[in-house]
Amino acid sequence: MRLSLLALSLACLLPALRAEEGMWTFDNLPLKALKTQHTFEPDKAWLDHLRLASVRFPGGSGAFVSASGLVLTNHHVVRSYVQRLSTRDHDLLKDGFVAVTREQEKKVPGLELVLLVGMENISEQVAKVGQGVGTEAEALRAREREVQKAREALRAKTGLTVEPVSLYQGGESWLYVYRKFTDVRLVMAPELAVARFGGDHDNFTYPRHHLDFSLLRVYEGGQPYRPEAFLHFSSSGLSAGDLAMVSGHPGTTNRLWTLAQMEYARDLGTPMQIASMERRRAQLEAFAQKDFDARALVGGQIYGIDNGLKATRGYLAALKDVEALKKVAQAEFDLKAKVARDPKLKAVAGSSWLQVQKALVQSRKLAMEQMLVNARGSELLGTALHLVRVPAEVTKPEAARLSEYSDAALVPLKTRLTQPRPTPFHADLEIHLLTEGLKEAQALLGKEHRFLKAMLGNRSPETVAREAVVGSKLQDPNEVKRLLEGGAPALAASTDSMVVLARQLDPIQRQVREQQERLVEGPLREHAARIARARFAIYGKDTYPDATFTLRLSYGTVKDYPANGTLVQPFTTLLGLFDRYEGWGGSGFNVERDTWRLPARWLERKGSLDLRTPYNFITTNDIIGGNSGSPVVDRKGDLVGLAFDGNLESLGGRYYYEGRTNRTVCVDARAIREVLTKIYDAAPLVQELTGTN
Amino acid sequence: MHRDVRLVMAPEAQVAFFGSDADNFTYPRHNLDFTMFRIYENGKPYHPTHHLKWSTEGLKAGDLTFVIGHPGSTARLQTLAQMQFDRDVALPLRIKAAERSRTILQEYAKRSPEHERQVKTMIFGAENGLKATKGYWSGFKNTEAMATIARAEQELQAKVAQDPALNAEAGQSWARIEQALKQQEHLAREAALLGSRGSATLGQALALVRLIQQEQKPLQERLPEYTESGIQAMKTRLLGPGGPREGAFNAELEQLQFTRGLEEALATLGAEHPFVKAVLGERPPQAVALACLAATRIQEPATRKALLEGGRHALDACQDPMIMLARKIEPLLLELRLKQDGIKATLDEQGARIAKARFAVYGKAMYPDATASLRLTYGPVASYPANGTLIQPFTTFGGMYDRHAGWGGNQAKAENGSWTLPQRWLDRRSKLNMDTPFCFSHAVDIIGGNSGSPVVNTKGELVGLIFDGNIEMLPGRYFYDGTTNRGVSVDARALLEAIQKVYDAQPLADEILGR
Repeated sequence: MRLSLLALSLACLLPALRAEEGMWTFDNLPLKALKTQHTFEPDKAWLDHLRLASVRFPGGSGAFVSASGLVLTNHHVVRSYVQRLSTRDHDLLKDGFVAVTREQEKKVPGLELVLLVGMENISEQVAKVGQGVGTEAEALRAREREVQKAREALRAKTGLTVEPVSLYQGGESWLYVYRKFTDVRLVMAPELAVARFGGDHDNFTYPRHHLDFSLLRVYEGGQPYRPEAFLHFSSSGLSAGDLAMVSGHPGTTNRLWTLAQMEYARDLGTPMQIASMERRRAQLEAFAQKDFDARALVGGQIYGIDNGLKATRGYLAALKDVEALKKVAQAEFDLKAKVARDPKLKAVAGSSWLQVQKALVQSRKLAMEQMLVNARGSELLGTALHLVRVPAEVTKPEAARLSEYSDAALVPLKTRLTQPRPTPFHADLEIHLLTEGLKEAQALLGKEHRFLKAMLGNRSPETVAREAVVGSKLQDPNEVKRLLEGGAPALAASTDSMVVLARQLDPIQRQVREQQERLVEGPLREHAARIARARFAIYGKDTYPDATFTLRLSYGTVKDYPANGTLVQPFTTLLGLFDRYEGWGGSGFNVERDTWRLPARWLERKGSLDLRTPYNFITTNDIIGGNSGSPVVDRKGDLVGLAFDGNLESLGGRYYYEGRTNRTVCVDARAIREVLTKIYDAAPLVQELTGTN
Repeated sequence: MHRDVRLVMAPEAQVAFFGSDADNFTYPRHNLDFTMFRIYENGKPYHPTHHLKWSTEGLKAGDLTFVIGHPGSTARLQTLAQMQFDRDVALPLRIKAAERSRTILQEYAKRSPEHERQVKTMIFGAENGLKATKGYWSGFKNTEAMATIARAEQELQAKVAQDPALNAEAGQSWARIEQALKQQEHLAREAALLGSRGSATLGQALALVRLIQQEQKPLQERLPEYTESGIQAMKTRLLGPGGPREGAFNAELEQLQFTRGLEEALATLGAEHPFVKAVLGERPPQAVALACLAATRIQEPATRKALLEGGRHALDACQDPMIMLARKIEPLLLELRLKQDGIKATLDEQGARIAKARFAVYGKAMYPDATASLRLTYGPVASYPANGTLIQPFTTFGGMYDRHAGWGGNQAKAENGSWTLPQRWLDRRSKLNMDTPFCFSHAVDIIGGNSGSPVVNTKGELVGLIFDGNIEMLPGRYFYDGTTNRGVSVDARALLEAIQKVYDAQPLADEILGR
């Protein structure tokens, strides 16, 4: 009797998680759900193996797939690096790249991978510091200092890279220990045309036909690295209904936002963001209209914005889903009621929902300035602002600096500012963008706003922009380097026109930031943490934390979903790739902006392919941006695919998980094997992946 | 008129309706939806004066196409008030009723796998109906299209108001229609709940009662469909073999449907409503359903035959519980029917006046609403935006096999086997050219009834055959939106390829190509 009562009360306490929802940390996996829903009970060795095979890329995920340090990730995760390795005569992006021998592998400059090797929970230690310390902002700073102290200590002890991780909106504080790899070499990249077949049109959609994978090899001491764990390529692959596990680094979600925050994003934040992107698009489009070269220069940026718009509109659509928001409201209502019944929790978080609302009222007032008081789309002004700030910031104790000038951030920042330009500088584009950016601020803030008075005085945006760009040498990395290395004296002596303009921008932008931090971000963080603490006290770790670009595990099944009036097939095949190619007119006619074209090699080798090979597939796994390149494994822990995107319906995953339609889109490992052999003549790689050599 | 029509070629239903109800009304599509007949006269193949030449070059994206066929019915020239009535009353009622009946079927299916098997097709059918109705309804969310309709109406109203003769004819018609619809709204909500309430047997009893009672009356007092020939047709239907619905009489299913139907009437209309009182009295819905269905013999053709032959006397003496129930509620249903007929008369009369005025103002610059008569429509082969991307204008045989494999093939039999293929198509797969264009989408203005329409190119040669539209075509009932409304056709090249390589019908191919 006692037992069943306990079980009953537990059931009431659980938040309403939907099956297969969740991006779980490896210290807290939904083992019970896996057992009851899928009769799957992975042991510690199984989980350690998967964790230690999973690596993080800048902005993405990947996995070791051979004993000799071969790493598999998405082509789009390493696309910019492949671009950097390209030359005028050898366009690796367009033509693809295959190294069949180790000697042919190309070192990728600047690419660093990290592998999670340790996780330390410092929540108690940090929570103690916060108590009874002055204002909310002071408490926050004190806790941040405590985290930095613990991080330093662990870094000194291990000699490894240590990153603080805040989970459950500050409900838990962790230090994650990473082994870092800096010698990473490109082994295989397919042609861009097939890696992103369907281009921006097909992005975020399904049925899909992307060969979105790339292979790299990690070296240490000039030798291929022997990883502690790597994933075997499955010899069979998945079928509809099969269990799929995804291990990777989801970037950001906002699922623990309060209802008020979601409504704010729905009614103000996201529409403002969309309008801003549309204006930016129009500015670029106006430039592109000039001539062919101009369009070639900014065409990529325009596509990028279109893609961002598609995603952001998807977010907005998700926020406008009345049924989904009702569920969010219900969950919040339940939590509030529980907090209200417990005096201790009430003291912690009873008023926090109200405080969040108050902060949002402030946010509403500051939103325009927050969006517009900045470098206004000018690359040079952005550089100049860093130059003005670096000498001022480095003299302060680290805790008092703007976050982007922390010790850890400074080195990559300086590297970025002084590296050779990837593309030639175009003064006319820079003038155009700064002019339009200033005009935009003028139109939205009014001419009398202190920002515009400081930037323009009595002059027009055109004049200010032209003079600032023409009178600046900051497009030259050597000049930037000279000013950075010269420190405060060199900067004080500089009369570079962009530096002069940045000096005008600096104090006003700092003020806007300070206000935003004091009135909006600070209170939101504080009260989110209080609500999280209360939620944590009530639900414990039966829930998963919002995504933080740290290692998570998600589980799901291969499953169709309703869309476009029908049910969408769980797999596509290579037949489907050629169907879409031919359906758009094939090699002959009217292929939409090169979007559904195929490389010559694919057309020549078509006959040798088994066209029924499964190509892409969808699962109900709960993932988000940052998971790109995540390995998909079966019950055995063998690699069956590679997550590379979600369907349009997955965009709402930023705010809530909706298992009916939210789908992860993956490349099938069988397709990777098929094309490595038949299209890319890379049989040795297949042997390495399948362990047959 | 040709009466000697012989079947020449029909593909397997699996490939003709590949994707089944799920893919119905959608695109990209892979349906070999064609069949061939031959017309004979005096035992000899008929020689038509004209026949369409089969195009050998085929279509490309952007090419102009013409469709000649018989679109069934559209409601584009309705007044705005009528569309709003459809939006707010008629279609929501239909959707609700369809959802209800689907829910009941699902409840039945949950009882056991055998129960599920019995009603699976019915569930698919219900879902397909829902898909269509929701598709029509979705058009009303298109604010731009609705604004265009409103503007056109205002413009016509202004022109009518300026012309004294037209004003006298139709000036008041829009207001009259609005008034009539207000009454209709109340009646429609009631009408949706009065009737056989999910019992096919009660439906038959009601049909018998009405038929026998109407037959007693002089012709001019009867409901319009009860002419002598109408009555004969009804009798033939009522005396026909088989159960009340497709397949045999299913007492358990009907028990559930009738119970749920009566529960809904009770919950919505209340115990005091005359209909509810007549049907239930003081008893609970389940008991009424059980008692009536246990004792009735109306499902047996012999019972129905005896009643029809016995006429009024037999009917009045009949103690079958369903007949007794039907006799009680027929006066209520008849009263409702007569009221609705009155409203319909107003709508028809005022609609005709507006149509006359429109014709006087615009003449033949506009096309008439669809009436199942021969029409021509034209437009290019075109992509359209959907599902987050642009949709390919053509599909290929490769796409059909991709979808087949993507659903796990014939082994998996996913979704009731919706995407399985006939064995012949698997055996002949390697013979087929996978790149053969299979279906295509084109910006032509079609609607149900256009099915089977020939598609010709600018030379007048046959390039395809209309068989459906995309899901965005459904609002075409109310307006045409060229950004997304597409006709879906099967490509003539696919027909030829299949006839030759799958069906071994080279002589047919030769005939088609005029060889």
